[in-house]
Amino acid sequence: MEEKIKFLKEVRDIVDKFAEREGRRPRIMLANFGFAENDHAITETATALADMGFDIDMEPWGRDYIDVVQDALDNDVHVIAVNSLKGEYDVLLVKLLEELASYDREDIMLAVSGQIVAHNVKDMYGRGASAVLVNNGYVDFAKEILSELEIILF
Amino acid sequence: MTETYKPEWVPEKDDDKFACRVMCGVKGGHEGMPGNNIDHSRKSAPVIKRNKLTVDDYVEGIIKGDRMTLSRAITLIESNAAAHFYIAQQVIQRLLPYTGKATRVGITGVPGAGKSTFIEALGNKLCTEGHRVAVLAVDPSSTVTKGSILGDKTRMETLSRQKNAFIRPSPSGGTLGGLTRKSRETLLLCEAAGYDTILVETVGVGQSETTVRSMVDFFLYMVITGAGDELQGMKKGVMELADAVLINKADGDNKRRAMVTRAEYARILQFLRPATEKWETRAYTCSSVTGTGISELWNDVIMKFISQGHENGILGKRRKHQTLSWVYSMVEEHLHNLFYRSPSVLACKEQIEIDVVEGKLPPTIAVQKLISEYAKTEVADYIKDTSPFAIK
Repeated sequence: MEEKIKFLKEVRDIVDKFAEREGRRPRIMLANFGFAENDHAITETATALADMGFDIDMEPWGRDYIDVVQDALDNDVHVIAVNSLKGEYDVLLVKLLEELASYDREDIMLAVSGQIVAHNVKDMYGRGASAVLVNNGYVDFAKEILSELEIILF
Repeated sequence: MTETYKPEWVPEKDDDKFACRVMCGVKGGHEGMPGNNIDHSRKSAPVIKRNKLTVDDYVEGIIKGDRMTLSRAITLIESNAAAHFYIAQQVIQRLLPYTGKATRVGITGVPGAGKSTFIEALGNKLCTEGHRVAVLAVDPSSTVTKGSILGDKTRMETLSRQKNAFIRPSPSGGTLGGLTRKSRETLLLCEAAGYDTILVETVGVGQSETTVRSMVDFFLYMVITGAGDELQGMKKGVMELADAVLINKADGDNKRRAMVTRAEYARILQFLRPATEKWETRAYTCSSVTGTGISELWNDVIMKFISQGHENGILGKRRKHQTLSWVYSMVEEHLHNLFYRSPSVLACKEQIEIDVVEGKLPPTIAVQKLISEYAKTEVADYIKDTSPFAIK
C-alpha cells in the first residue's frame, strides 16, 4: 500500500511539473467505442487518472471517429485514449490518425486504455498508439503518456 | 527443460519423501495473459511537434471563425504559464473590437438540476433556427489532486454534433465562484469568432456562487423540486441575482411537484427585489426531455428581456458595469501574480513555511513578514517579464 502511495506521489510530481511548464494539466479524452454506455472500466480509468492530476474529458458513448476527432479539437486535448470492448483497435487507430492528419493536428497523441490482449500490445504501438494501458497499470500508463508528451510539446 | 523446485512447505529433513515439484510459470506476455515484460521500445507512432501559433495567426483564425484556432486560443487564455500570459493579453486586446454582439446567458443551479440537459435542448432549438451557439461548461477541479473529470459533453450528445455549436468544457482550476479564472475572456473569444448566443454553464453550485452574474446579460437559476422550504429561497445569495428561476424536469411523475415548487418560488420572488430594473423575476417550469416550455422560455422570457433591455438602455449600462468589474478582477489577479512571483518573496517563503509548520512562527507574524518582504521588492525589476501592462 505504502509503495503504491509512493508511486502515486511520484506521478503527481511529474504532472505538477508538466502543468507548470505547459500552463495547464495534461488533458486526456476518454473515447468510448464500446457496447455499453456506462462502461465500468472507463469510469475506473477516469478516476485513476484524475487522481494523478490529469484533466479528463469524458466523450459521449457511441460516437464514430470523425466526431471524436472533432470533439478532441474543440476541447484541445493532449491525448485521445481509445476504449473499446469490441477489440477493433487496429482499425480505429488508423482511422483516427488519418482524421487527425486531415486537420494537420498529428501532435494529438493516441493511446489505448481499454482491455487488450497482451500479445496485441506490440501491434498497437505499430499502428500509431503512443501509450497502452496494460494490466491496469495506471501509474505506468500515466508515466508513458507524460514522457511522450514531453517530446511532442517541448 | 524448464526449471523446477520443491515447494517451500516441504520439510528439509524429509526432502526425499516428497515428490512434489513446482514448475516456474511463464514470465508473462504470452497469449491472453498480460505480463510485465512487454517491449515498449518499438513504437512507430509519429512524433510530430506541436506547431506554434503567433498572435496574428490567432487573431486572423478567430475572426474567420475557425474552430480549431478558437479552441487553441482558449487554451492559451486559460494557461497559467507566464510565457503565455503576454501573448494572450495581446490576442484579447486585438479582438476586443469584434466582441459585444452576442446574447450572453448564464445558467447556474445545484448539482443534478439538469443544467447540461437543458442546454442540450435549448442549444438544439437555437441551432435549428440558424443561430450559432457557443457553450462554456465548467466542471470542478479536485482540490486534493488538482485533476478533474469533465462530463458535460456526455449530456450534450446531439448538440455537440451540430455544425453551428461549439462546446468547450473547462476545469474550474480551484477558482471559487463556479467558473474558471478566465471565463470572461473565453466568452469574448467566442463572440469574436462569430457566435451569436453564448451559454455559460457553471459548476453545480450552492447558495453563493455568483461570479457568472458579473459577465452575462441574462442569469438563469435552475432549481429542483423538494429542496427545502421558503426560507431557503429567501436567503441572500444567488436567488436575488436571478432574472428567472427555472424548475426543470417537469415531466411524468414529477410534473405535479414541479408545479407546486414553481408556486412556492413565485411566492418568495414577490418579496425579493428584482435583479434587473424594470424586470420582474418569475419562476417557470420546463422539461428538457419532452421539450415543453423551452421555446416559450427562450422566446417569451429571455428574448423579451434582451429586447426590453436594449430599448431602455439597461443592458448597455450593465455591460459597462461589468467591464469595470473585469478591471478589478484583473487587478486582483495581477497582484496575486506579482506577490507569488516576486523574487524576494520566493527567496524567504520556504523558510517561513517551515517555521510556521514547526510552530516557531505564529501565522499572523508570518503574514507580516511576507508582506514586508514583498514591499521591499523593486517591482520594476521583474514586472517586465510577468506583466503585459508594463510601461515600455
